[in-house]
Amino acid sequence: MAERSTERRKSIKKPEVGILQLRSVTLNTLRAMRRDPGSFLGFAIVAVVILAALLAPLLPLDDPTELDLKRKLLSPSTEHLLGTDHLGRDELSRLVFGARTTLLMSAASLVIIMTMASVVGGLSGYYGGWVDSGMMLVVDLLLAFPALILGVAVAGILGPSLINVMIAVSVVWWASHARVIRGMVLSARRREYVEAARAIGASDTRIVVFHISRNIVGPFVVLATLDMGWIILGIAGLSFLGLGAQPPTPEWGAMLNTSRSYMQTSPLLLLAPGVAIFLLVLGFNLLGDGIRDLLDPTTYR
Amino acid sequence: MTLPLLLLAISIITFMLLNFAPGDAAEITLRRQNGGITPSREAVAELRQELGLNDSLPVRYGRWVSNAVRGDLGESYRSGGSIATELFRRLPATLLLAATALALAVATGIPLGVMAAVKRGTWVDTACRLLALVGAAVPSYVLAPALMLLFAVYLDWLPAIGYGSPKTLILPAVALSFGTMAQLMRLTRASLLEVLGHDYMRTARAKGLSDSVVVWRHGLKNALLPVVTVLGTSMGYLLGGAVIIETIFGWPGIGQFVVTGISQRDYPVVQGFVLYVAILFSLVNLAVDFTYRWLDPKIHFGGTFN
Amino acid sequence: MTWHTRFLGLTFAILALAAIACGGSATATPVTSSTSNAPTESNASTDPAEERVLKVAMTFLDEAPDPYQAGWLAVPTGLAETLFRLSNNLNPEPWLASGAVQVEPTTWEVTLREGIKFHNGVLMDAAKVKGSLDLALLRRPGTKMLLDLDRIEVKDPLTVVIHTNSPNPVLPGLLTNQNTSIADPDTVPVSLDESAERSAMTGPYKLVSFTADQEMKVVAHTEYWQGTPALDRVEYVAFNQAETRLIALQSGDVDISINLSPQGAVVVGNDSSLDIKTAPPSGMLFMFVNHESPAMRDPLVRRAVAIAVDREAMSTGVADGHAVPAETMFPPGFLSCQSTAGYSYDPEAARELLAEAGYKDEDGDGIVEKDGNNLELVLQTYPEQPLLPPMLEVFQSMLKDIGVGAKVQIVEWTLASQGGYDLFGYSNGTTTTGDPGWALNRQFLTGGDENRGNFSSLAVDEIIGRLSRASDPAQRQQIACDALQAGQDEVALIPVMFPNRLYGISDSVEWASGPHAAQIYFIDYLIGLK
Repeated sequence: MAERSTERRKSIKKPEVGILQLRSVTLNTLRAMRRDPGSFLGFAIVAVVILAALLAPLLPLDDPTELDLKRKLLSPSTEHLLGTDHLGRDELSRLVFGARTTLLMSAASLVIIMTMASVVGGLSGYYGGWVDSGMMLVVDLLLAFPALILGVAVAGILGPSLINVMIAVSVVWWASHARVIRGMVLSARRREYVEAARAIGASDTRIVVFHISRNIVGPFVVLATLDMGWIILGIAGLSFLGLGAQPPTPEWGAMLNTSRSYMQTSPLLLLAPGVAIFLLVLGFNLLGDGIRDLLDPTTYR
Repeated sequence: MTLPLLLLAISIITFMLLNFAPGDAAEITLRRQNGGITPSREAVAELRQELGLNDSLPVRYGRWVSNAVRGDLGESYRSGGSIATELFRRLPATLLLAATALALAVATGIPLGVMAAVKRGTWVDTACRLLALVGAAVPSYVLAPALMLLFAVYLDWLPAIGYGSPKTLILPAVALSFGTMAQLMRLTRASLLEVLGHDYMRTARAKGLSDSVVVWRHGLKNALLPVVTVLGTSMGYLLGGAVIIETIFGWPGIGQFVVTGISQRDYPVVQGFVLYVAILFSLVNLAVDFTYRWLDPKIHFGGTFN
Repeated sequence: MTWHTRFLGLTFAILALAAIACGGSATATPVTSSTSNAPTESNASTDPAEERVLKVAMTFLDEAPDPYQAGWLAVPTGLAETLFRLSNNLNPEPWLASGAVQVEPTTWEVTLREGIKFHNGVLMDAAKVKGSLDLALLRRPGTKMLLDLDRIEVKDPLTVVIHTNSPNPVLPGLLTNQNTSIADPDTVPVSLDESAERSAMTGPYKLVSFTADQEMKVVAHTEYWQGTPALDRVEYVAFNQAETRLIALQSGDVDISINLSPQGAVVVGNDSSLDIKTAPPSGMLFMFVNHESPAMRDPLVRRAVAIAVDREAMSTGVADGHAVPAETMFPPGFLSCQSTAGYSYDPEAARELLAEAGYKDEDGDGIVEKDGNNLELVLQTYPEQPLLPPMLEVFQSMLKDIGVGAKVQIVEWTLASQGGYDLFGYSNGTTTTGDPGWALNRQFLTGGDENRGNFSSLAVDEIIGRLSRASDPAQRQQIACDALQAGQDEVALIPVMFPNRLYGISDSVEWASGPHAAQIYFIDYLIGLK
């Protein structure tokens, strides 16, 4: 790993030519991606969804909360590309705005999860001793509960709202990552460069922030990317059980829930958010795989 | 990880869950006994005293734990029935579903993973990996209704609902097993490929052993170790996924029980359920740990890494 | 041991676990004891292959069919019967009783039918009926409060004398309440904690087995007083999701599914082997007004909100035409009043009322405000009645039309009694005993059982008080109309619509009478298979 990082630094290190640096990074990435169509597809999917979510208010879409009972359950037409839902709202705009809600909530959960896992796992792995034992006990405790079940219980007790679902998912998920990050930090800690840094007299903070972080950033990003898939499914799953987004907020899991009643007469209403969730999760999975392979091509593909 | 300590901590967390829940236990109980009529404030206060709800937190916790140890998880707000009895009555249904789903996932996922590894690079491999990706990304609550419609309504091959005969088990178990199957397939494939590349494999081949012997005897044995580890967490995931599947299929297990409990804000049920499942899950993990050690006595646990 | 043995051992362990669970489920003991007290009579040696078995999908099977506690299950499934029942016009008519006479203001003489046999073959007589009624009052405090009886006496083997605490002209109507079912008191457990579902009742079917939330099996009561039931057995299952009930019907796993959604009706309509039977509504979908919330305290605001509801659109749009708009809390035809003004849709007038109340939109955000605060209402409801959440979502948009902001929350039904909202979407029956006084008491009276929004008006209370003292039917009708009008004027609650009840049946079902106007009557001795 140490050799790899110096290599990369050598090839990109042109601090005075910022734009060129960006360009070569992009080209390198794209080239690597093109060699691996799966992950490129993943990247494309994720990028499209994120863009759509960010730009949603600017796009020429109907108001996703504006309902019109006289135009309910319409089939796709030029006016409503995906038809209308059971209250006459444009399905396409609900889908796009739903992407905003789903992505926002998932990203927020991811940030919380990763932060908590990093702090706990990092401290555990670096310091060891009773800090490690204590924190790992808490982690094991949380791991004793099957994730979805604890999530359902927490969300069920906190009450139905999107924020509560986010809290539930975050509380439940960070534990397993803490263990993984702890492992990463442990193995990174033993490297020579850490000992060298300590020998020079670098402080603990400096070691952690500069040396260890840089070296685990790769697997960390892979973990985060692959995890987005699970988080999205988890949030959508809890919304499906009625615990998440409240009407009229468009959110893919909640949309799946309400459209189940119309499954036989207007299957598109179920398929649209279902396929959307599937594609997004697939995209993150492919992207995660691709990044993992990029960082460590020695694993058989 | 000492089991008793873990169980103690589980019980504390579970108890705190109910503590944060809104609603007054005494009022809800009285209202139910009266057939929906709002009880008087005096009656509520009296019952609170009787039930010991005004005692301090540690005292209430102690009482709850001593009850739980004796098998009493309290009464449901909704029906007044014993939660422990109900959970125990419904557990076989969920276990049946989860175990069948696990068996299905193992029976399809592992062989497919092996096949994909052995035939790496061919269309078989690509097809299997595609299936794995799809299986990991499709939510069960989309797959389940789709399966129901296809096999029970349009093709009419299987019953959509019901409980008791093996036929009714098929659709729910398949819907539940999909995600785990995908995961097991990917894991088996990756693990086997990694093992196949090791030196001792080359040595075995060099010794003149045929390919199939190499794969099956040496490769598989070692490749399956990480898969076995995952079986424990898979069971947890299946127990969780069963909650959704049971709701959709009307399968009378503990998952359906807790979802009904949640929608009716029957908090003691939620609490009892979490405790029950956590203990169950811990036992399953323990069993997996033992199995892992048994399968390969060279692995040892405990202590810090060196 | 080699690795294969270990691996096989693990697989075996998993399968063994499955087997244990499977075996466990086969011997799963139901909530109550599984030994059946009533022996399954099979005088008619019906070959199992030729048995006429009806399979029904219900919504709930969470309580055992105790005739005194869970009449809501015991009566519709044909297990239990009451002294009086409601006709299709929702008027009380004799059932197990043959008639009743109010000999004094507080005394009723009820004559019983002859020759009625309980499920255990014992004849029903006045002593048994008295015993059963006493048990009904004892076992459920709500029934005791509802009937408000002083004592019951036996006059002769076929006559029961009932003394009420205060003059009660509508006692027969109250005796249609499902928890006053008649069962053989000798078969009811002595302990109050033990359920009475195994007691001998009088209906065309008797209980064989009950497993909560799962299934219930009943068998024909061959000595049923009205004649031999048309079926040999009925099997009930329960799914609280309407979608699952629909699919069960489509796949042939059940013959009848109750409470289908309007969408379910569409699907069944498209299926030639299935049929939809529509029953007139028995419940009202409405909104509780929280009379303690700051916004709702203003009568002008309440009135504005009440007339902002486009009830026609709700019935056609949300319920797909399977509902009747509700301008008052009684369905059309139930209480005929000369001039009771119901709420009609008038958004213009609503805006004027808001302006009159001092609300204006000064900052141009589309929401009116007063004293710098936007008028934002909190709308809550529960999901078990599938029409309620969309109803509230649509209402949210109707409120926006008149400049009122709203937030929808899907919570649970008990929150209706706990404030914290402005409007709460709810479903209640208002025609249950056939007497308008019942609903007026429950919904309008200060402290009424179902007055969850804490509506309180001395004027309305006074009128309802007069109702309980009046005995002349014409007079009662007039007073009821007055009470209804008074409550409407003060916007005690906001009715929206009466949804029809939709039953999906397969074409093998023979149901000449169709569903009864009152939801409490469903399976009788006539329903059968072709």
